[in-house]
Amino acid sequence: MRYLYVLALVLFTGFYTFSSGSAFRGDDDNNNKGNKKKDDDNGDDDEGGGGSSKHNYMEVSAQGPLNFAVTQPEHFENGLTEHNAIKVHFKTRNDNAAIYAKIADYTTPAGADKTVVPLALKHRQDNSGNAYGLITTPLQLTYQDQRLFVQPKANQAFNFFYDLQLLPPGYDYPEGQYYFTIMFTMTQQ
Amino acid sequence: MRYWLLIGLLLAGLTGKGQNYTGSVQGNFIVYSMQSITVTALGGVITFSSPNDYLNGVIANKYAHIKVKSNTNWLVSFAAQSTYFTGLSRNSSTDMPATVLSIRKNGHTNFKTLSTQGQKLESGGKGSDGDKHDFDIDVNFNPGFNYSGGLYSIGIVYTLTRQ
Repeated sequence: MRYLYVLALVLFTGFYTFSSGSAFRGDDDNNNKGNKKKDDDNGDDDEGGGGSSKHNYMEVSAQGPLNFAVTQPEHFENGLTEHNAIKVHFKTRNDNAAIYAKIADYTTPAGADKTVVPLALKHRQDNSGNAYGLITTPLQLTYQDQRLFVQPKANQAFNFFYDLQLLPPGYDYPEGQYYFTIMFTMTQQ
Repeated sequence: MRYWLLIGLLLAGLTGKGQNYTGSVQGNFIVYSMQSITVTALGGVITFSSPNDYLNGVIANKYAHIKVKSNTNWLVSFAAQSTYFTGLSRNSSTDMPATVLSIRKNGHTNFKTLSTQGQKLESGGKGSDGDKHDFDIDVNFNPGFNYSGGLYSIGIVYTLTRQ
């Protein structure tokens, strides 16, 4: 009977450990749109006893309203850009970390194509001298994670700034309001 | 021993790598209804220089170019700005009506007689590609022998509306 207790404990704990990676992100999708998730930000809860507070965390913030108004022919044909629109602030002391971005939610008017999202991130500036794999060209966002860069572990916080580009929608986009959520994920490797 | 192995595995799972941290931002964009029409004159003054010109009129192909941009279904109509032509030279007639001029989309057969009443020239769907959104027009000027020689002018208004 004791074996069964231990086995049950291990299975339960094993599931919990796994879920802190993937299922946890799903929860953030649904309940924390547009807000920093407290557990994610300070990193304390995911340390698993292996680190101290504020050593591993990520905060993502908009530097202003992420709103575009497509009104002129040049907007339809050339798109629009919000410069330095998004700040990714993080610290990864324990391990190297890869930063990813994806579209977590995209709501469109009826008749619009939801499969392609006309948004791109363009790296603007950062205070890291040793990040690698950095994508510096505009990266069109999709529903799948795409890696932006890898930051070697360090005992300092980093800031990465991104322009948000609305790619030229053309004249086939139905008029109306489009809502989006961009999710950034820091995965320690 | 098995207990220790299991506990060891448990601790390894808890302290293992692969930690994820997430953050998100929200925004929106609004696509407004937009229609744009550009009319570019390609031809100059239409000249009547022979009796045949007066007898049959003069057709000026590709007299103007029209470009439509719209993210909704659209219609372009045309109408004369005034009932009569304006004579720009001495002794020119004042009663030459707009109806001596007719217009068609280049590539079509039939002309439509100009008047102050709007008439459909072309229509299309949203988008900006294809000949429907980017086309030339031909004009047929046929005043006959009823008016004095001179320089005449008339305004033509092209109107783009959403359908």
